[in-house]
Amino acid sequence: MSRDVFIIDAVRTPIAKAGTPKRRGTLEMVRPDDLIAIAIEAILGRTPTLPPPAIDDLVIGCAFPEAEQGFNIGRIAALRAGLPFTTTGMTVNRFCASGLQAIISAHDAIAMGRVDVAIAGGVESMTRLPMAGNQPFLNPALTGSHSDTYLSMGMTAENVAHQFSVSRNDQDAFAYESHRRAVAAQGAGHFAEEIAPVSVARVIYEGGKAVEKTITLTADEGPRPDTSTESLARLKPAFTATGSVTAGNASQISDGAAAVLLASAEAVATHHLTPRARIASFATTGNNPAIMGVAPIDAIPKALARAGLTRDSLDIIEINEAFASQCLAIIKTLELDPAKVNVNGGAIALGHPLGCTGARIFATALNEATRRGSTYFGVGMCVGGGQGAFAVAERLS
Amino acid sequence: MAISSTSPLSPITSPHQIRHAAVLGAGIMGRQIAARLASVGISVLLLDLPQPGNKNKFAEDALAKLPSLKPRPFYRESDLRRITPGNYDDHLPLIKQADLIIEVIRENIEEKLALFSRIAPFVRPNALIASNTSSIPVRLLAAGLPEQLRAQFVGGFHFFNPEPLELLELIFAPNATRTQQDVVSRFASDILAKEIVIAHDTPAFVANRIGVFALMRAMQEFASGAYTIEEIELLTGPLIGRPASATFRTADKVGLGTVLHVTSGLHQHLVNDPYRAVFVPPEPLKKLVERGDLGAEKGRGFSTKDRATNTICNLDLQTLEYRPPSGTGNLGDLSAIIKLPTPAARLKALLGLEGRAGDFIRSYFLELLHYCAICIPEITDLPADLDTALRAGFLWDIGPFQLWNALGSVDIAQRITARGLTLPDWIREAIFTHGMIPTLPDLFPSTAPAIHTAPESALIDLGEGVLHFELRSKANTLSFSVIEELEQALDVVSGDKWLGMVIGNPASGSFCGGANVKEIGGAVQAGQLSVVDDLVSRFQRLMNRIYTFPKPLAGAIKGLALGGGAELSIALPLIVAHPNSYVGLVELGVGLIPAGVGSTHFAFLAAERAPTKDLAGVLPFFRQNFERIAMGMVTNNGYEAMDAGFFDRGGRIIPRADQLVAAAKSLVVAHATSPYLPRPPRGDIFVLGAEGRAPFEQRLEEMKRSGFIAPYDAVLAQTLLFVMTGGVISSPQYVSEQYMLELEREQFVWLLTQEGTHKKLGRFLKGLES
Repeated sequence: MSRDVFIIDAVRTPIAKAGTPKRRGTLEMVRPDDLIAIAIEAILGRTPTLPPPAIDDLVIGCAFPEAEQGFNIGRIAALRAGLPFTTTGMTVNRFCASGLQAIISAHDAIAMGRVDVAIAGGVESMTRLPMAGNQPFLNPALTGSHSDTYLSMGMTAENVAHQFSVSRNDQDAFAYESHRRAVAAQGAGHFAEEIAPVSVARVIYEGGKAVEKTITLTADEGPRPDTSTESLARLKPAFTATGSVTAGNASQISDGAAAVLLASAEAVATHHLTPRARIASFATTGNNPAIMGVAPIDAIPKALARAGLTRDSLDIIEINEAFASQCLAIIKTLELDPAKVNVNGGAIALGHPLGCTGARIFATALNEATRRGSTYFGVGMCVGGGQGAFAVAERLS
Repeated sequence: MAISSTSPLSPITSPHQIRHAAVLGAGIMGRQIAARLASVGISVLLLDLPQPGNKNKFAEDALAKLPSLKPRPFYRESDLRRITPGNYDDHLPLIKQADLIIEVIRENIEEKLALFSRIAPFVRPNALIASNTSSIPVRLLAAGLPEQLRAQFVGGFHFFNPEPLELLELIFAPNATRTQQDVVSRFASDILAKEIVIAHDTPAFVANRIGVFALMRAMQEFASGAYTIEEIELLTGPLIGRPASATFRTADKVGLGTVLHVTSGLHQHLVNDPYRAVFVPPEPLKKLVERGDLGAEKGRGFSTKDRATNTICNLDLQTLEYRPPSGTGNLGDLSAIIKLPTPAARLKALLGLEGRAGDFIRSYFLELLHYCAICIPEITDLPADLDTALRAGFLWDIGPFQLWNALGSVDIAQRITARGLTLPDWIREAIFTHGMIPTLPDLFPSTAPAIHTAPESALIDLGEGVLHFELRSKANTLSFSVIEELEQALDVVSGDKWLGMVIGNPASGSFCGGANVKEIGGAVQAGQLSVVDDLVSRFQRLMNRIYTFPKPLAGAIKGLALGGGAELSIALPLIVAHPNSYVGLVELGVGLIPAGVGSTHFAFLAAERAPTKDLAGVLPFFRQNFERIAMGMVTNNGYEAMDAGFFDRGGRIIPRADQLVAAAKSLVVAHATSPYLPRPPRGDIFVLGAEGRAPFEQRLEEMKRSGFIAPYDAVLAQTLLFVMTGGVISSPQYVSEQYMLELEREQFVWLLTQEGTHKKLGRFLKGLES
């Protein structure tokens, strides 16, 4: 038994640059469980005909579900967003595909008739939870020279650049283009539809007193209007002494959250909802962790075949820009049209809050498809540990 | 800022009343002075000119740059939180809280006086005021100050750059009271841990006057074409007890613009100085400054590093171009002299040596000593202060007058007069009546004579039942002989007569340079690995005997405590240390791992400090300890050594080098006379096993693959990691200390069979010789 499932809406917070020991982050005082609650409240606000008790389940993706992101952040987010006790919540983790996997898992639960209305989404505060988590405990049988299971993402990007002959120049040019497109999209207001601004009150110590301050963020912080291929070319390799992957042609470390509302056909009718899209197919593939970045080379055709479509059916393609090297290797190998890929810039410019990203690029692709009147769009990414994920969606008019 | 601890009207009569300070000027010196004050617990207001936009920007940026300065002008990064940045527009009223105000702006008397006028309404009537200067006559400042500040003006401070140099010259204002002078002197020496020199108000004061003389006098020999740069570097460097930067690299480091400025100023002002001509800037110096080759900061000065060949190239006098070093063969064979143990012995041999090397030393060095003699009492009253200025300001191993005494005061005096030079009366009287020049009269009061003198140590009776084991080997290394002598000293102190023992030799400027690598290298070369194996286990036993010794043992630490020296500091149950203590387990640098309980101790300490004995609890502590040793980190100061766990129990920091042994003795007496509880053995140690090792192994593998560390450095770090996590153990669990010590020793000896270690040891030993 399988029934129709509809995407009703998708929103996201602006993406903030993560705080580091050297630089304060705009959202460093905003917990990730509060951040995802903001996205959930926003999507509920945009769907006034849907009574909150109608939401059966929350499925939240998170790449490092521990500490502030732990304690089953799916359930915490539901309670923090003020949903009734009856709305349940779960956390899913497929690293960088978590946000997309959350949409698919919620979709499948509705399709199977176990859920009627669900909010999927993703969140990551990389200020609070660094890549690899607070304290990784690796399995000694898989570490060091034994395998590439835990190889750092930067090293895998270097491997891809090497194996797929992606030059430093091409990576820098790609990074420059990502910023150019993101800045242009911001200027044209392309993100206005999907962004739910953050405005949170926090009590901080300032000038000798405890004062209440409102932390606000209304736009993505990552895009740099002032970047240039020259300044990108000057950056030193970040992960190896002589490599080509730099902080400039890799994704940014970020904080952000996104939420997607899904409903069955019956729920759409009952609550007078307007479907915006449906999921056509989804596929995951695995590859050698040492070159995890190119796993979508298999996942994209696999998902397209499941949808009975070809590459050319897609008007809009979002491939998460973990690194310019892996994105370029995918585009080159699959002969994708660069003009269709990441048309509003990608994670190199906008940032990559790991667990949030899948839901974030889904929201961006949905809105771009809406703006262009496109039918099919695809969303996917590479995943640490050697996985690729890709979803094909159909916009409904 | 909090309310001042002192009533605004009661005079400041003790250095401890200085709790709040204002530093005016956040430039390169001002920010360092502010950091130093903050590091001793003083709240500091750091002001500079208002900037457009954020008015505090200059001082805020200065503050933000402090943590990355090397060497660090503060003890702990948290010290810097005591500094409040601000600007002259908005924050002058806050100066009211300051007990001490130090002006550190540009060297321009009008600007300095204008600033003093501006702050005058905000200065509390009992605050002390000083100006940091290296060149401005203090009497002119004093005379130009607003009337109401004059009685509060103590005079000039001359801090050296970088600030961690221990020297501080104090130039008192003509009207500074005895109390003010006393408070400031004690503040500098007892709180700031400075070596103070009371300088007279003469051009460039003391250290720069003599130091620049020495530079310029040697530079003359180059400018005249008599000697090449590399010859002069050899003859004015470590050979005669000076830093490796000798003459030209010291000038390059200071900056040739500064050197030219100072020497020109000295030439201009020292109208009646018999050596005035020495300060005339020579042509090559002027040319270098003209063409912008200002020294180390620009990468080009008298020397430059040729990137292609990675060699230091020096300026050629004829072409004024750089050329590869031409060697020092024309000086004759100095190899036998280089091997002599002390600077005095080497100088003595050089003075008697026929040929160009001897000629250089006879003219350069004897004229330098003559110049020092005639500068007393013009620049400072005490010969000891002149010595201190050169030791603490220019890092000479030994002061000129100390050397003079060591070389034979009469002989040197005769050699000088034989050159047609006249010695002033004061020194003739000292030498010909008393037999020696009074140097450092009170710095290290000589204790009772040694009750036992061994080849590389002495055992001294400090009185009150306390012995002092004084290391006297080269760099205070732990040779086979010293280890044996220390074992014997412990046997002696075990006797009924003694309460306990102090270990160290602060007067030598360093605590202990670690194992004698030369001896170990020799044994390895001779294929005697079993000898090394025995030695390591003997050293481990000695360290643990000290660790649990039934009577109080106290280390008196100043300067370097490296490798085995750091392990000795770990073993000693009581520590009295100078703030300038540099402690580190640096064994990986020579291809080894700490095996005198050092690796074991830091694995033990990680688990001891952890809130829970499991992977999650211990790992963060383990990471710090492992990385500290893997990267060969040496602490920047004594406080860091304390925090890091090198001074395990009862570590105490004392800012006076000359008081360390006395303080250590008091500590021993205090512990011995109340019932003394010896430290228990470490017992079983909680180690992390392969599971705790995994994240680090992963990281090391990646660093190796990415080319950030050399493959053999990864092997060394992995070996250390293997030992510190308990070897083949799979998961976190307790193991015995003995198991750890055997592991430490076994891996140490294994490394000695590895070619990579042979290479590193060889390189280190070669470096020792040159």
